[in-house]
Amino acid sequence: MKNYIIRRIIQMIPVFIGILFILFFILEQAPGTPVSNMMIPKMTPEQKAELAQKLGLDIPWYERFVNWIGEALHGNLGYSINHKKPVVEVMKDYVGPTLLLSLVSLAISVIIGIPAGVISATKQYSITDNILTVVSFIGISIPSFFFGLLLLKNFAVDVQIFPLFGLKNPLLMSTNPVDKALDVAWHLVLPSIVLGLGSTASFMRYTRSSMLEVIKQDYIRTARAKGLKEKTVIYRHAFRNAVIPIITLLGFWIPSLLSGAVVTETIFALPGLGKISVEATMTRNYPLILGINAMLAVLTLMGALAADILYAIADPRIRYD
Amino acid sequence: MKARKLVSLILSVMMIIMLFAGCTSQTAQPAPSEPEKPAEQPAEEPKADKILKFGGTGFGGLFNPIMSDNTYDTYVADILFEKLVTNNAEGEMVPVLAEWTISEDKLTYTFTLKDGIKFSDGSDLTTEDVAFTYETIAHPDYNGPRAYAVSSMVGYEEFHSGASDTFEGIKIIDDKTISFTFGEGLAAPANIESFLYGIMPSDYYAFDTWEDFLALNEKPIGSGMMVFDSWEPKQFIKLMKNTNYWDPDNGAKIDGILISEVPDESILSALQTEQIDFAQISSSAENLQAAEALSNISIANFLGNGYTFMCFNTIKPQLSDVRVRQALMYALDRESFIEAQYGAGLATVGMAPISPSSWAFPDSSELNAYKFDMAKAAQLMDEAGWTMGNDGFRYKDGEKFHVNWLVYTDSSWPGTLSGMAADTWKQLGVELEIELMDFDTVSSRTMDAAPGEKDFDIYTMGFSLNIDPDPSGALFDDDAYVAGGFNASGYKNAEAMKLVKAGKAEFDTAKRAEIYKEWAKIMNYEIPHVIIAYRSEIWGINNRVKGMDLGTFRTWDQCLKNITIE
Amino acid sequence: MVKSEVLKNTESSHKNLSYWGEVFYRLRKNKMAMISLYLLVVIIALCVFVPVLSHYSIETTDMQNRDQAPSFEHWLGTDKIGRDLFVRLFYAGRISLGLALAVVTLECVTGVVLGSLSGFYGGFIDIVIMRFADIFMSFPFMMFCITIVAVFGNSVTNLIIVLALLSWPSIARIVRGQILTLREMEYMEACEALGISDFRRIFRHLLPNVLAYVIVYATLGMASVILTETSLSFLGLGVSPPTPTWGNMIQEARNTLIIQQKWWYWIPPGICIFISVMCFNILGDGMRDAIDPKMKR
Repeated sequence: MKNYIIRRIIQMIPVFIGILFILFFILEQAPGTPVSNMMIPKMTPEQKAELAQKLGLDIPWYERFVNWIGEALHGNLGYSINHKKPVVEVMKDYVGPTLLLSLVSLAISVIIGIPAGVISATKQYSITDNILTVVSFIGISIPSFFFGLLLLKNFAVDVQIFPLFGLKNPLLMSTNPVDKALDVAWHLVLPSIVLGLGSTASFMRYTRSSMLEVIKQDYIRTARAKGLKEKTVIYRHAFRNAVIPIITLLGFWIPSLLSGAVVTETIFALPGLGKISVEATMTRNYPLILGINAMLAVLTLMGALAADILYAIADPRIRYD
Repeated sequence: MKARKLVSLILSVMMIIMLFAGCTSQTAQPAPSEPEKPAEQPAEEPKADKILKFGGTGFGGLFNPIMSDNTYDTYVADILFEKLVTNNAEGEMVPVLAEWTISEDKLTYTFTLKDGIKFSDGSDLTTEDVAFTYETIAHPDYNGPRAYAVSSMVGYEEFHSGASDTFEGIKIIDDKTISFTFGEGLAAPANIESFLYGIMPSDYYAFDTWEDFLALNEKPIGSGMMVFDSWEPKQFIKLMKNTNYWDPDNGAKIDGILISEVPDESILSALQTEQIDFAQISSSAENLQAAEALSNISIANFLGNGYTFMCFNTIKPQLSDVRVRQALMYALDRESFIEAQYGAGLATVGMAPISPSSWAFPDSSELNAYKFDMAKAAQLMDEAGWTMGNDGFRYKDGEKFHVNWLVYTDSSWPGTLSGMAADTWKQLGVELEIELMDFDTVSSRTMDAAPGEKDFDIYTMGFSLNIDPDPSGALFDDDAYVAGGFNASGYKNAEAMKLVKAGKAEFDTAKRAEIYKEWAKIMNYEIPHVIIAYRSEIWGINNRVKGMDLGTFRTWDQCLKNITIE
Repeated sequence: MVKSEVLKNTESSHKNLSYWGEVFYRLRKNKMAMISLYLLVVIIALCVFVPVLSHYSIETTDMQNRDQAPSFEHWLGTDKIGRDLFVRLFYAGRISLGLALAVVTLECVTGVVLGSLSGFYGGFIDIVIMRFADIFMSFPFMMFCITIVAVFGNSVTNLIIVLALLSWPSIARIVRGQILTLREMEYMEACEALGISDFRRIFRHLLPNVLAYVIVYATLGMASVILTETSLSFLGLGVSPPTPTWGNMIQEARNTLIIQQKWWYWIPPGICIFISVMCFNILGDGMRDAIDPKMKR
């Protein structure tokens, strides 16, 4: 197992460098520089050129690539052009809300999606199953930005239960951490519903089919034949085995949630990575784009590895060497 | 078992939330070496309902008068830092921190500071601080966007290149008096606009390395009527009343300002639900109608200081003929465009390359509005030698009339305009190819590219203007037709340039207006750049806010001392 | 009772129907999938035949009749510059569905070819192809889309390339896995013994067995591309007006006044997106069950 993990990590290195190389190459093809959006008629072309030179834009891209890798190995991801501070610090400001939002929506999808899938499977073709199926298809099919706008209109404007924007109430005077946490939670309700909807529906579909598969197996029939209670059969025997493939999904899910967070963050004005990465792209803030993408790529690779390891732990039949 | 798992999951989620709630707050730290704190006034607790709430999108985090490079950071810098001068509602310059005189040769500006000015940390604001601010802009390591404010002063090159330790053009005469001298031949009324940047305390901002200076961007200290309280990146900025304001009679009557990040599509809802007090609403007929339906806000609607324009690449053979450019304009129904995009009354058809809010704006009766006229357009095309072919497109010497139009997708109006052109220009026999891209790509293919490599036929963009109407250096300047310059049209006209130069140096306003009128006539006929429209700004202001009288030359931060909240 | 009848029918069909006939037979039993199929056919037909149904063109502006509610003249009303929204909606459908089809085709062709090469030859080729697959799979999807579209412009072609580039690895992995199993089967040994060329062995004898999986994947892929296009449009990075797509037409819903009072701007594209995505999902699900009743995930 240990060897397997080490081997996997070693294999990740060329993949990771490949990702960065391609990204660097693509950014190099981009028309425009961080100074092209400075529309100040008083600024002379010389002053613009001087700024570009100070930003290190006159060095060839492959040299910048090598430099960047060197710096990155020291934990330094360069200097964010718009923020005029190190990329690592900028990311520190924004990574929290994105991770929080993603984890909460993941938790929602797991808490709702998996039980719903189990119910749907145990009562296959019943009314409950049909309703859940239809709901899950709707969940997968609705464009998230549209769903978000509808929620905002209904629950933040027409009936003002939830806030329209942001992650915190800036006028909250309380310093009590519980109040603060409740405030954040209150702001996160609508965004995490929007982000969680699609994955809840997917989790439900996966659990349902996985359960159906397991229920048909011989050992479940044996368990039933032994006269065990139906509940015991379903939850102790079937569910445990059905959940294994779902665990694998979890590892792959985090990166996709992070990607989905771009739209959610934009609608609800949450200060996350998705939002600044759109901004960074528009203003050609190369170091920040690279920093964010590198971090997400690492997360994705780690997620895939974690999925495999979890799978091995959950299913003793699988052996790695 | 299931229930237990569920509970533990919920608990862990709650814990994560608390973790983030606890650690993401960034409160401004007090200055490390604070000069003895002024006696703590038993100031009354600031009240949440006396805090003015502003909403908008896009603030960055460079809360510094010489570094800020977007509108919202600039608002913050303008509130926290006071300038030597500012403009009044009519667009004339008036003193803030200092009175000024101009020397006989119009090259030297001498400022005398008012008495008793203090920064919010209690230290005095002296000419040292003024000189420090301007020398920092000229510093060799400076990487902000304001170099033009000092670059025409005497000795800038030497100081900026590091060849000299002193900036010859900036002279401290005494504690209260300082003079700035501009280079020979560079006298211009617009030079006063160099003094529109806030003054920074030299003790606090003194730096060894440029990184030290930048590190203070998020912990600003100035002399304004508000002090920086805290901020959360991309969420909000909180400013509190400066209880030690040096001019207490003119201090703020509100307890603080909260600037929140609100996405564009939520602005109206946020005004409606009173989560913000005021905001700019993007100008469109629908938005105005929706805003007017809200009973809790009043609407300020005034002409913006700027214009939108279309640039023709006059180097291209099909666009070098002025008749062709004019034909294209006659075939574009700008009146209908304005009605569709902004609604009647929220914009007017552009003619002169000067804002109608300026004193220099010429009498439009002598200018051509290129009123929609397909027959005239066709006639001009025929005259220029582009004859209609059998396939519905015009040809000249076997060449089809083809133009590409770079449209950026960051705002909606270029899409609407090009959508209309796609129809009417086709009727005229023009093959139009619309290319969509982001703003940076447009500017890199047009302005940034070197002459000869400019890869476009037509592009459109919007500009906001300075108060002074001087157009030099911008769209119509022959010298700006270089890589990185603003003139991408390639159109040169020595006579027009003479007028621009004469206008720039003329101090008599009446004479200047006459010069710009002549110039506007030339540009209105030649149209290397066509002014598409002058737009109005719409602001929604909650009824509880009083004293916010916005105008073309009056931004909300300039109204601050008059603002009260009921 | 009903169940046993179905079972009997299925068994009898074994004798008379080909593999695909059987699949289609099973699919027909799935009511939801069939309804989805019919709905999709209707939408596609409308997109194809829209020039016959209406004499307006997507570019023609009409300032006298702008911003109008649906009427007999304009079945779905007109937009801000007087273009007919019915025509634009289904021309938009051509672009949206065409884009989805192009992306899915491109990614499936790439994925199938690379996946089968990788699975069939193994060794060095396998390692190289799979590392590339890893690279493209590990790009943060949305961020990468944003970067490329912003950099190369939001044309339909660019969008197709980007989306295909980012999604081929999954299909390549599926195909590779299948080929790895099939390669070991006896009939492949027979092929080898008969001296059939590699090319023929891959494309004549291995791929047809993988095709079913690819078709299911492609159907589900159509749904996700349509949704992705909508999200990208929301971020200002999709195909932009004046070229209509469902994704950019529904963006009108972002305006407060339009969402409250002018339903004809956003409900029709909303319904089109919703129905087509839902139908592709249900159909894909149904096909999966029909193709391999045992393969349920």
